[in-house]
Amino acid sequence: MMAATTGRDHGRAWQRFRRNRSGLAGGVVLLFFVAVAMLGPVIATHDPTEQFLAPATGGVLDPMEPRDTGKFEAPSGTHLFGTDQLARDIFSRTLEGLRVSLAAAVFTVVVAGGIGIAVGLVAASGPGWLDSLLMRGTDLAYAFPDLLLIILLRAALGDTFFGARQVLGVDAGVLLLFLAIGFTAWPTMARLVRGQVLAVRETEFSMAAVAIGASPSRIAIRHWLPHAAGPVIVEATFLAPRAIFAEAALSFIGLGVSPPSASLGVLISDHFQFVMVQWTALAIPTAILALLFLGTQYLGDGLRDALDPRASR
Amino acid sequence: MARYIAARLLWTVVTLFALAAITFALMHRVPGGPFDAASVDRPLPAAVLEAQQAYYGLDDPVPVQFGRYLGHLVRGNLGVSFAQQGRPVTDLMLDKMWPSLLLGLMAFGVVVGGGVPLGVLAATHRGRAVDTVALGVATALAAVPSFVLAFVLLLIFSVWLGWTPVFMGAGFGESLSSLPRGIVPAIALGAPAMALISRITRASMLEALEQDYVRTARAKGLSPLAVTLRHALRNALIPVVTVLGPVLAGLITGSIIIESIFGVPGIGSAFITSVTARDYGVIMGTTLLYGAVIMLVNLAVDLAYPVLDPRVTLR
Repeated sequence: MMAATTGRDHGRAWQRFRRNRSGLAGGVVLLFFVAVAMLGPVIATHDPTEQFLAPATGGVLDPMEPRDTGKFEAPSGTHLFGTDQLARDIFSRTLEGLRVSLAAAVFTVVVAGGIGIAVGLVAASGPGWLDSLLMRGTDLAYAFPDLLLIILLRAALGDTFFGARQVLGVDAGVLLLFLAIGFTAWPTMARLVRGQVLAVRETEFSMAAVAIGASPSRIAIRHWLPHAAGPVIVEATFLAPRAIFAEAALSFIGLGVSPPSASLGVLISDHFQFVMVQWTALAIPTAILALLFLGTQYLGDGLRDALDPRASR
Repeated sequence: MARYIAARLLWTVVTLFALAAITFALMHRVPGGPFDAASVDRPLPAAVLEAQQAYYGLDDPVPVQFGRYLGHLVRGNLGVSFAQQGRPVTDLMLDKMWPSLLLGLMAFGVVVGGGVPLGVLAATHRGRAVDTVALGVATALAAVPSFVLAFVLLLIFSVWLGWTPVFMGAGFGESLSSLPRGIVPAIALGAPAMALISRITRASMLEALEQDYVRTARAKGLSPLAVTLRHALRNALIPVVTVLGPVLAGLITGSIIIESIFGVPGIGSAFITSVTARDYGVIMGTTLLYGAVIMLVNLAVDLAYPVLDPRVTLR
């Protein structure tokens, strides 16, 4: 019925997962991008905010020629992915954008997972009135239009986090943006955890735990919560790309990560403006985003098949 | 049954009240007002600004304003738009709702007409090339942001093939001949949900195909097509329908991104304009509309459940 979670079953799940080629490939792609993002500052060939403008050659002013060159350059040896509308190195900016987008994903999963697991676990293990109250609250959060809430939160909170411009080296505006995205994503997680816990509440091992005198919170956390681990992990893998896409959509309407910082969404929507001049500038970050999406999808599918004993062949 | 519906409707009203309160509070926390220099074409003289604020009651404390808003709301009055010379919000939204609704329904057609057959095809050919291709097509369409997909589709259908106009513009939905203009935006709008539906259909079909009644149907000599469609698919659609509800609600309430790219004069673009213009009445109207639609559609899905699956009873 539910995900198996004893040590031996984890071993079996891993064995099943290892045989799933597309799931494994998805995991490898993700690991690759995470490694690249972490090594970003080392790999970067240039400063992501530096402009590489070169004055136009030849003395005569040609109105058809841009006054400064160095913008919209095609990929080359010096600028691996070319340069953008401000003559910045796209390769170095992509590394920065990848890091910010992955941070958005992790942050969203942590916020949504944290709230969702807490609400779901308390609702399922607490008294009936608390369950009703929490689940009605979940319904309310679910009825809230995601993008609208993010836009309103972002506009209402501004660019400071309790007065601070930067928190732990991250721009406060960026942090709030991710917080808002995470805040719209927890209801699904809460419902999932609640359902899983309700399914194991009345089983014999729960009664055994009560019989040996385990405290209610210990039973909830040590005995019930692990049963939700499988579905929670799978949901998290689907949540991560949603966060990156939400940030990209916000960037497109000008409410994403603020300049000069970059995210994959900012790069895609910036480069979108001059796609007719230099299409590779749009194609590269879009391809990376697509690979991240496909990687998480296939990893999620693989994990679901591996963690769900019914699916075994 | 009637009690169940009554309880749900009552709960919908309570939720909408909470939604209204939170949105109202958030909206007034956003710096700037509807008549500030940033929101109007020409800055107003201080005296005029003051008079305007007083006329619309914007100088009252926020809770007082909210109370007044609720008073009007229960009588079906959503107030007036500040940005459009006092046009009633209900009037404005009825105007904007039509293109969004129509486009959303077309996108819903793409989602169901594309997602379900792809999912069935993938499930009946599990592990073979057809499975990989069917799922791959659906997933690839969802793997790029909708504005990039919209651009690529525009490039192919409008620029290279010249089949559809680049800009959708006004008049969409006013005549039958204007409907084809919505095809490309509808594909871009529906693509992510189509991928989701095809995956759910596939998973659910795989489970259904292993049931005893499917084996019985095969054993009594029914054609594979009849077994797949009439016996397996009917039961496999139950989890699909639960997901289709919120998907439909999301599609018909208008997409901010798609509407701004194709120039659709719909709810999504009305919302984003209203946020930048601090057009309080329109912000509230669009948010409440979205909330009401999503809750009513979810109620409809729950009511459809026992019809689809006789084992389920509502309580």
